Amino acid sequence: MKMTDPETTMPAATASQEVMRAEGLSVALPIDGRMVPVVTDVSFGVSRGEAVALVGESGCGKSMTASAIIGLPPRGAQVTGRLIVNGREVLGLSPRQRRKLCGNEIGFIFQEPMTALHPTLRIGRQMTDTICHNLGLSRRAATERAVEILDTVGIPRPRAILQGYVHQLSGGMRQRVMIALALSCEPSLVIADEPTTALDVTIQAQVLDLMERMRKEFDLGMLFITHDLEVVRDFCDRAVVMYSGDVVERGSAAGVTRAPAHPYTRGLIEAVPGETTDRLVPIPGSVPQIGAWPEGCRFAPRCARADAKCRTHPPLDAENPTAVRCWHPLEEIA
Amino acid sequence: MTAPLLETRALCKTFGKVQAVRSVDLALPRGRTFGLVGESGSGKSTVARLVLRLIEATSGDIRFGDEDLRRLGGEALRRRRRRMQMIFQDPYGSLNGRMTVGETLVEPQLVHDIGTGGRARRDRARSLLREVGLPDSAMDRFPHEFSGGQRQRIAIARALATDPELIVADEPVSALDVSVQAQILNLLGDMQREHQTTMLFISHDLRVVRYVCDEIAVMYLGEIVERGPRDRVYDRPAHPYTQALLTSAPGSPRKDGKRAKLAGEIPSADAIPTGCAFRSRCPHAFDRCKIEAPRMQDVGGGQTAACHLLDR
Repeated sequence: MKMTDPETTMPAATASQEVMRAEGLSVALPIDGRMVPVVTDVSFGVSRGEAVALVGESGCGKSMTASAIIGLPPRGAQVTGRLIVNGREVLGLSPRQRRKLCGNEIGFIFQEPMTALHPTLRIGRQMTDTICHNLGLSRRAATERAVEILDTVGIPRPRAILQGYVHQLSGGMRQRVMIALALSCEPSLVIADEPTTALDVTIQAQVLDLMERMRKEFDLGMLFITHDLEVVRDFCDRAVVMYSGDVVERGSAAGVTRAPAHPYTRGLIEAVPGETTDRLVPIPGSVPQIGAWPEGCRFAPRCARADAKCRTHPPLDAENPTAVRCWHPLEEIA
Repeated sequence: MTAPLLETRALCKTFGKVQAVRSVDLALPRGRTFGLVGESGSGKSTVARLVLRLIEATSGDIRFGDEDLRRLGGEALRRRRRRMQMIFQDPYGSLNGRMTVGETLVEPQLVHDIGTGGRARRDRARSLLREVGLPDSAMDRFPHEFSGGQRQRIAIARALATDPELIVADEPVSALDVSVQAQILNLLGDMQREHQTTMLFISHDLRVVRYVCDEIAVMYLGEIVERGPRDRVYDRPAHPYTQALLTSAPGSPRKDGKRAKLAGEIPSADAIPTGCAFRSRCPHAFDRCKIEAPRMQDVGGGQTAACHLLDR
């Protein structure tokens, strides 16, 4: 059964609210003296108030896509295509212009706050630096803003926290500080890279609740990078599934996780243990190395449905928000 | 029922002021997989290291078969270790990067004097590789030439090399992508059935534990709070912490539109609450929980739990 997809019925209404759109975004990295593609022809948008999942396993290009969107790709990376943030094309901008834009309009939440936050700077200093720089406030006003936002994300005694250091906090509290920092400059888009993966399950639930509350309260667009389809189903409105640099499937989060059209997406779902102890159905083989992607469909060597046709790279319908890159999809797309 | 292969009684470990493991009683039935579940800081990995004597317990007993493991020393312990192997979370860190896969699989045979002659040991190494689904050609390659899932296969083959009775697996699939995780879980299951190995399986992932384990113990702040056969614990959790763990996973039913079933965080192990250690986060805590630590009690069907609510 396929869920009805609200966005297919009213794409025009959401398009005007779009905070970010990638069109044919590609990233290549210099490896051993040649440019090797790591992300190819990725297109999707994020609108205000919606959570879009970028799903895939390690090496699929999801984090690289995110770093291209915030303008912090690895050194030497070649980013092509179009990237529109709040109606402006940003790929042609200088790094200085990008930085200014990034802090103000895009907030970023990393998986491991310990590596993203400075270990020997007081939390208050890190937050007020960011706020002063991006919002042009005085140090005193920035401190008040930091207290306010720490309070909003549920941190008790925020003034005391500002005097402390990251290592003094628990994993859950660190992630709250990270979220506060991302929200401190009133962004319209927040990109979260596996924000709950390193957290215990009871804390993960708290952080997901917080992120959902923030999304509604500030009408934020959220790009949620994850490998966990349960989180996608539970937290996100739409899903973009990536495999070896390609978008292989795109649609509503409910549709993609309940009735996937791409054999890879279904493989991912079936590989996760459920409530029964029936033998798991793993995807055979392993993800191909970057730079050694097969010709044609990149999933074909691991796919039971592959045939001669799959030697040609399948296209993805750019017009339709619900689309699959497969010659033999599991279900006809409505 | 036959005697358990591994049994601990009142096992404790303190690191300075930190009480990492507090009076843990375990009994691992032979040929079964026993799951130890808990969040970070629950002490589950410390228990794994204690039962293998990779670290020494502060107090308590460990029995392996009919031997008092804590009294064994020197040569006797070394011989016993042949019967106990460990699989770690990070197969990159736990394999020697400068040894070929063949050497990695021959070394434990040499150390424990298994097989006669290099040829026999190499033959055995090749058959172990085949058993874990790797080709003979892997023998002469190095760990870094393999993917994470393949490296974990090598670690499993190495664990099998001494034909152990007990395998302790500490988060063996947590570092792997889901598509590969399923391969390794199937392999561990096949291996356990084939060799009738007893396995102590440690994980934070409740879905994985449900799939792999016959019996389960749930740990919180160094203690076991609930224990029992898998289906009993998952279908009828008796302890409020187990109940919260099982319903905190994404996609579980929500209360008041919220996912979080527990407020607050796990207290630090050097400041454990008086009475019931879980009371600071328990939605049902009452006066008695502050004063008196609950004892494990039978709730039927081989399931036990430590909670004062069970007296009500």
